[in-house]
Amino acid sequence: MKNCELLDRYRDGELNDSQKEEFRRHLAVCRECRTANALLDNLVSVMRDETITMSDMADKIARRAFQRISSWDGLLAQWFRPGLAFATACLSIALCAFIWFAPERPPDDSMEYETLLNQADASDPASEILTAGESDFVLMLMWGGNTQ
Amino acid sequence: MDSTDATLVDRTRNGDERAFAELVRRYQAAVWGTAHRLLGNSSEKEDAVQETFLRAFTALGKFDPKYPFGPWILRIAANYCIDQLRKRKSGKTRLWSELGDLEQERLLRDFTRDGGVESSVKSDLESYAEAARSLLDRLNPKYRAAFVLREVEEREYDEVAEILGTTGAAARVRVCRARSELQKKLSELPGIKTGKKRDANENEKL
Repeated sequence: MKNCELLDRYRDGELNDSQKEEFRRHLAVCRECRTANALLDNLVSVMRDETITMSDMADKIARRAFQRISSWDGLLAQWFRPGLAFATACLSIALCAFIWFAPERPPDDSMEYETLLNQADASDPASEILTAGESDFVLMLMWGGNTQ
Repeated sequence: MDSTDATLVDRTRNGDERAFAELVRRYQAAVWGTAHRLLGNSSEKEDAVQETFLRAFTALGKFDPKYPFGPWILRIAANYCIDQLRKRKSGKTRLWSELGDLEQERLLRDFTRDGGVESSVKSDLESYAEAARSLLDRLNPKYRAAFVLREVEEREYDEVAEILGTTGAAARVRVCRARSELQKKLSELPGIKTGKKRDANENEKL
């Protein structure tokens, strides 16, 4: 077994007493293993002994957690807001695109037809002739064709 | 009357804020300790503790009370801290340190000597601890987490594996790699000899 594996097993407390004793004798003569072991021992002891300052955040965290779900704002944020934001964004984009690209609104067809018809009625001389012709025709019927 | 973790989880699910506060109170020291050892003495640590419990609260519906709460909450904490360490490595956040590089190297030199730290540690424990974390900062975050959980917090490999969401064998490999990487990283510092050559009188075979 390699010494590096033995170092791992030694540190993990997986060597039996005689193996442990043998490895300690090895440490006495092998600088590499001795340095590695010292480094790890020192690192670990410093980190274990260090005082970790902490504050009691239990009530604060619990309050925040429950505020998140109890407030409508929190519910909106969790469930609705992403959907609403997405829908609003889509609508805005669609609206902008419509305003930007849409052609000018065409005039109403029926209105146009009526306008043209009136203009034609007013200006077409044929309609006057037709009207005159009609009255002559009525007189002719009334007076037996002697309109003169 | 002391409630079990499972009872507190159940009461929290039913909207009892005080039950959740009690749950946080029980595990905040463990989370704080792991966050401190993984992230160091920075403001990130407090954020890590808060974020861990808030994430746990959100995911409480998925927690099976048949299993212990401790490893579950530490798993959330470790995942969060590993993510933060990765961001740090990618330069998204910068580690703040009171110690200059030269001072850290001077302190780290003492780590290679048997009893090198114990002799002077009483007066300067905080600086040594910071130097130790600066060396751990050079590790892959996953190896660092495995090393801290196993060596510093003295957890069994099964528990380390559970917290890191991996197998016992993988957890063991990560700890072994952390050990050899630490030695390598230390040897890369100027003026530090980690004894690559065997002593002349070494004849023994193991």
